[in-house]
Amino acid sequence: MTMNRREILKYSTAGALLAGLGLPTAAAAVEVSAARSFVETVVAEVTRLLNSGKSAEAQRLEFSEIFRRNAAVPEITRFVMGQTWRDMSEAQKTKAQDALVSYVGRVYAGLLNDYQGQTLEVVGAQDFGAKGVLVTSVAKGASVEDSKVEWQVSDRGGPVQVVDVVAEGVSLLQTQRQEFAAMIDRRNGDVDRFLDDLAAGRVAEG
Amino acid sequence: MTESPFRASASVSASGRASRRGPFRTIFMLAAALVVAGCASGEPVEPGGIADPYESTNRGIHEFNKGLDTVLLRPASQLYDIAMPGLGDLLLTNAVNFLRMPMNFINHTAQGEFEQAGADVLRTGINLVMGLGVLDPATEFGLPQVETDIGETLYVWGVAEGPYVEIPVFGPASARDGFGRVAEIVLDPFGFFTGYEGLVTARRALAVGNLARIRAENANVIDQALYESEDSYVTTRAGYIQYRRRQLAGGATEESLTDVFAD
Repeated sequence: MTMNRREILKYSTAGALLAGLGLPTAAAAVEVSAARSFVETVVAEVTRLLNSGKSAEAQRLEFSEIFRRNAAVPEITRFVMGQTWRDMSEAQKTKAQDALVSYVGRVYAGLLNDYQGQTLEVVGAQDFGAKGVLVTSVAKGASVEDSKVEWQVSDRGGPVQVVDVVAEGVSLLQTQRQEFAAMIDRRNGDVDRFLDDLAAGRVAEG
Repeated sequence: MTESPFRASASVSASGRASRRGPFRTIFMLAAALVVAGCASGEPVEPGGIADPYESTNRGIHEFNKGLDTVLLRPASQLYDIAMPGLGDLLLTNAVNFLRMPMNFINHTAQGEFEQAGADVLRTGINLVMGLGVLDPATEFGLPQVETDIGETLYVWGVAEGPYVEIPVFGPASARDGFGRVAEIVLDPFGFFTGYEGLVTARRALAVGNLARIRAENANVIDQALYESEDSYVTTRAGYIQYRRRQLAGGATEESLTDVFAD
């Protein structure tokens, strides 16, 4: 009996310590296999959309929806807005999320169309602890070199979600964050004007 | 002849002409300038961020480089695609790789990669004897080209990345890599053989051709960054630094990954 009590004490102390240190216990981090199958589902959805033959406008809208459903949109919006986020009102924050979703649909649906005819295949996954799981996929085409697209997946926001996409070693979120900062700068810090331009596709001007 | 070690290496010249004077002095001055410059930037950088205290100057240089690309480099790369048949491209690539081997050997040794340095020497031998420098039988024997540079050596030695700089003609670089690139040109062993006209001409021709070739190979990415993005300066900076960090680290690391849940 004494042994058991000691064991219980030891394990509960250890658990409390781990929780206190904020280290992810096994239950908290997303499983590698779960992350991998999640990405495979998303990739299949995107591929289906690209080969569906729908109009550009329809593709843009549907791509926005795929993004909204599968990515950690509030956290991503906060990240790409950078320093400005802290000074934004609640209304602006909501506006930013909607603007970002529409921007993603427009820009990335267009970009992905260049990959038409190529296959995107999930080839591996690596666990990076608190930062999530990095799932690797390769885009193969007939006349182009293979390119690597990695999906950073995490469930720290609740459900399993995409938190970043890394194309050939370049993080889309980090690049976008820098670009947005420069665009806001060019508009002298006018966030509302920037968000309007973002939603309407006028970010090249300003 | 009582020559200092510096002068000794600079005096390899068949015709007796004075070749590069004090290349090492130039490098030390450049290094000192960069170190001082690096210390001057006091802005705090968030983890994973890019230090760019010289942004206004860099933007100016970027515009210049972009113009150079539009007018010279891009057309040259398109010409390369048309004019160089598959075989020409192969021979040029092999020749460039062959001439890179001394630098690769030096850098691999300096990084402590002795096995790779040995492979570099073997490659040189095989490709010289069996390929005359323009064919690449060494790869068939299991000795592929493993490129490296002074920037990577500095990284291995623990030199910090330094601020972002855009260099005229050379393009984007971190201070460490920029220094490395200049040092590479100055220190290249083949560069000291200035008496051999054939070699000098060949190296110049290869350098120009190689520039066009690399531009042609990466046409999609470069064209998109320079001509199809909202802000080509930011896109180039973000793309280059992230790519380079990844290349030096050999893949994704925990630090390199984004954290959207952080405050």
